[in-house]
Amino acid sequence: MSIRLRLTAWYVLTLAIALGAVAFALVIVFRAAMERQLDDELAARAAQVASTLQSEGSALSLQGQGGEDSLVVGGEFVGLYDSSGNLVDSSAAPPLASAAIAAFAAGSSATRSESLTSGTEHLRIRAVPIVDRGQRVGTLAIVRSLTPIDTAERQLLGILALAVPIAVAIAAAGGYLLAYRALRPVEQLRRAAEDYSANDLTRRLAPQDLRNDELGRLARTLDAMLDRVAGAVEQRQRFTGDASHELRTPIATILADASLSLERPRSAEDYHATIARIASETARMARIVEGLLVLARADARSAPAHTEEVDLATLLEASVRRAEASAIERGLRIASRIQRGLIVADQDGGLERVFDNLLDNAVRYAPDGSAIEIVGEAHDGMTRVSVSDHGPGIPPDERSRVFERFHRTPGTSGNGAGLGLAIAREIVDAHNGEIEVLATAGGGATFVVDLPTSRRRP
Amino acid sequence: MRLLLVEDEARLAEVVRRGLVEHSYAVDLAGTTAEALDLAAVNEYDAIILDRRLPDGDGAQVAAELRRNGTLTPVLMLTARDTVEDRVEGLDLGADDYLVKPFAFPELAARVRALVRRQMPERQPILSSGKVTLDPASHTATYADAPIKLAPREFAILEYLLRRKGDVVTRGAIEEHCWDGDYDSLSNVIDVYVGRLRQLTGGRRSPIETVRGVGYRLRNG
Repeated sequence: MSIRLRLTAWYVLTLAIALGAVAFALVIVFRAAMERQLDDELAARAAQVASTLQSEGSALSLQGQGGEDSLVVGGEFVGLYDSSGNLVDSSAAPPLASAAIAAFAAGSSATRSESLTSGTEHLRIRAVPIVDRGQRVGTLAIVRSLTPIDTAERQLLGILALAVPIAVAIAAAGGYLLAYRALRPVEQLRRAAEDYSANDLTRRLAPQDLRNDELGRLARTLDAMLDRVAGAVEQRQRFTGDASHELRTPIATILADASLSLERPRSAEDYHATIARIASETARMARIVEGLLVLARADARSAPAHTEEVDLATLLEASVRRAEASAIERGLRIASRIQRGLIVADQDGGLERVFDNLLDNAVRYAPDGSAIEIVGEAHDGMTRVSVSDHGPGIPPDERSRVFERFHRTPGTSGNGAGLGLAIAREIVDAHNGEIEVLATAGGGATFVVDLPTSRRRP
Repeated sequence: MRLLLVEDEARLAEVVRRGLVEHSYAVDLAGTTAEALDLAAVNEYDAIILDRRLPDGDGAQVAAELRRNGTLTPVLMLTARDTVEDRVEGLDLGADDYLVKPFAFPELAARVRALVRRQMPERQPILSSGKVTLDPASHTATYADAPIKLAPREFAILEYLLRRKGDVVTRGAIEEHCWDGDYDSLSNVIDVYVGRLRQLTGGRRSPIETVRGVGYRLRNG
């Protein structure tokens, strides 16, 4: 069953119950009011008749009191009974229920009213005891027919029996229409979602004429979710595209070199040179693949396999030693100033890669014969490592982009794959640290890594 | 034949340049779109080999810009992008051929030969005039059915003269099409090379004639 039908059904059911209850109460209240009014009239009439009786002395007689109308239509029957319940006098011919009236009158030691049904007659009776000198001598009974009230009640019931179903029917139609209108955006949303495909991530669900109601907000929320999904997919596609480009370049170089070499017989020196170039390109590819694996693992964000507390000085000194080989080749000096006793938490040996990458980067861009400084120190409760070179530096508008994957600062030689700094940032992020690049005083780039200090050893 | 190679990956560019030089082409190198457009504006190339992904933009824009400037030099586009859309876009922007990286060098060389051939009055893959024949693909030349051994530059000059068989070819044109941008005034050197070529192709009966004050002509037939 559709929500639309269910909504309407519940709506109609609730409304029918409510209207039924209201109609029922209305009839009860109406009848009670009518009966109370009748009782008031009967009481007034009884008082009137009784007052004439009492002034007349001992003999019980109506003295011509009471109307001559028949009891049947709007009229009344006034009966006077002695203490043993015999009819002494009456205003008119006794009604069919006269025996019941007599019984009621005889049983009354106090003034009271009651409804009586006898055969087809439905009567309201009020009995008033007649007391003479403290002695109850008889009973005065005033009787009126309840038929007019019954008729009015039936008419009211008839009207309600017609009006309530009509009202419910109108409400049902209105409710269905309302539910249809309210739920139409859901159907639009469903169709839009049905048309959504992985090939076109730009499509969105929210229609142009979007209202700011619950469904509008739902559509916008879903669209915001799709934005995030599309962003992630695009980022992944770009990464895959960049990765394949980066791998294709060394492959293209190797294939071109090898196939050129095979075109004709060559000297041993030529072959040697070709194989050396191929080996170097293969090593470069291996570095790229390794970098991609590190990034893929970082993306998967699996919990670190092991975390180890390490001394920053040990870590940095090892990185400096590794970087020195290529630094000396270029006539570069690496000056280090490392504070002792700073302990940091190293996840899966990742920090070593961060400092290696930063030093590699510095060595690559530093001009021949210049100096590279590496500083490890406590700073603002964190452990700070800065690596400074005196190379060309990074223009301010490039600084946020150097950490992007495959990003290369325009105008620099394309030796690396542009992954080193991206990897460094991923690892620093995973260690709850921060990495940024600043300008070195006097020109060049300074990379600053802040890591949480786990403890300090004196 | 003189080529412009536009490729920012230094090692790949070096391998391709070396191979093309072995095939007797004069090769200029450019690493950016700006450099490529500058070189193409100054020199007359017989073909341009153009990488799409360059540090300062898309190589396809270089092809489009060349066509807008009225340059009809054939363009061979190199790319790592190999979707149909990429190839169609590259060709529509003005490339004459498309080669997907990675490629084998002989295929690149064959495509370059085909592109260069298209530009020349003489379009046969094997060039000949009288007793002289030259096969750019196998990089061999014969005179009277006997192979002649030619230095790469001599081969380039002979191929160019054969391609323009019957035309008077100026020293400037030879310089333009057979030397890359690293050499300066050459007219004397060209005379030395052409002199040697004439000796190898029949001496006095060589089909290569000197046109005084202008340049050279390779006789038709």
